[in-house]
Amino acid sequence: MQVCPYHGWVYDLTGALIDVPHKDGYPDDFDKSEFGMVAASQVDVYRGFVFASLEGSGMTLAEHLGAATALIDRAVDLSPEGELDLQAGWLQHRFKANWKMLPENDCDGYHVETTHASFMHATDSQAMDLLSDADAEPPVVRDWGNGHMEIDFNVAYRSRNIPFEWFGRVPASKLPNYTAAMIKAYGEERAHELSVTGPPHAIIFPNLFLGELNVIFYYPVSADECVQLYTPMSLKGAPEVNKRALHQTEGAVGPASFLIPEDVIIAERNQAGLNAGGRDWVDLSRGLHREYEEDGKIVSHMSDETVNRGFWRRHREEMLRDHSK
Amino acid sequence: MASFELINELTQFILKESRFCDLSLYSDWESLWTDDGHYWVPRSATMDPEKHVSHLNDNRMRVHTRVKALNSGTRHSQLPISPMSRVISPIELEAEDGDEYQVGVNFNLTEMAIQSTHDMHIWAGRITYQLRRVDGELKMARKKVVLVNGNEPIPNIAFLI
Ligand SMILES: [Fe+2]
Repeated sequence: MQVCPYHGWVYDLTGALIDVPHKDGYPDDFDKSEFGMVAASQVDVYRGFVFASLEGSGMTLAEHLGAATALIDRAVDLSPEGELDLQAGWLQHRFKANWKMLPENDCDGYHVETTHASFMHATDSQAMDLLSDADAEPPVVRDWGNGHMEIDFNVAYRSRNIPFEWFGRVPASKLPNYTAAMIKAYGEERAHELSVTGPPHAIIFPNLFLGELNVIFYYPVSADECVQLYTPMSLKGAPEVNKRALHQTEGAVGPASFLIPEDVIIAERNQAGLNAGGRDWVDLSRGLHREYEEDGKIVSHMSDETVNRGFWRRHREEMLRDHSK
Repeated sequence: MASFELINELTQFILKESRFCDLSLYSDWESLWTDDGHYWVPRSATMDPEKHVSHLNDNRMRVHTRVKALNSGTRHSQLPISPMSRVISPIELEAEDGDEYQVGVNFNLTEMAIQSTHDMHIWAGRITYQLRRVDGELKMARKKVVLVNGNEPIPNIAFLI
């Protein structure tokens, strides 16, 4: 039961209005059922992720996600119980840029060596091993359709076949209970595959970012301000992983971390730059001449803007679509 | 009752540490730490550093990494460095155990976000220091900063807080 502290209207937990003080102020035909809280017109769940649309999206969640359910699966399958369990709370980050800077940036492989130079300088990141290994399958960007996209580091990790390289190269011997639980849940072969492949680096359109072992989402405050939230992607039944993931989250994302403050400052400068005018378009053509199709998805070099084009294609569709249908 | 000399010595240490932060003297600041230092900005006073995600939760090695990144010349979120001024309250010696002192202060920090928006950011809260005498000299074994707005959407804290 919830009681509004303003006039004392009482609602049950479904949002239905169940009582109104001093009823004599309303006529006899006052119908409480018309004054319940407004429900989101569409709510659906995929593997624990709740998607809601206040106005209705005009499509089912399955239609919206399309093939990109595989990206969510790639994350959730890392739990031996096949479930996430987000218990660590959320860091909240506010900054002065349009929210669409985030989907553009989060799957942009082109900015890493310049924007994040200080991180590369200060740490010994496994990403450098990956990028400098000529024999490994190179990471790529992939447009999953419907505005969903990824930088696929997983192909590279899988080809190098080193368990938990993606997890800061932690030796499997440090995760004995997790490894045993994964083998029990998935069998030896699949558990090994999951341990060498790792979590996705992917955007589910429009505002969910599965950034390795971080769950991230963002929302606009106004046209030139937004908030981004972060939590470790805690895996149910995997305390050994979660303990480490907590401190990786603190190092990588959030207002005081090593990575995102750099992206934020660039986004704020870009926002100021947009106000300057003089150029009507931002060029997103990088890689158009070399992208290719693979399993019905557009794939290209990790530094290419293939994914940004995919995001904006869906964005344009949504802006033009009649959502009342 | 702690001696005036001790309170004065602890106060001078904290004022120096604050000045190193204000002026972004990263390496000088790093030299104040003990080998087992813990630099921590939880989201609120009651959080567990091993259970709840913190804004900043550096062990000594990560303090070094932080300073190395700040000194790299490419830490864009602090290029140029934020002009800052913090006011520290009189100190409270909360606990004393041999060579170790737990000291609490309130602070109020004004930061100029000169890297992009040029907005003035106000930061406030309470700092709890664990100070230890090592070879006669005070060192910082722990700095816990509880912000009044730690659980709200907040801007970058790329500077030393
Ligand atoms: Fe970035």
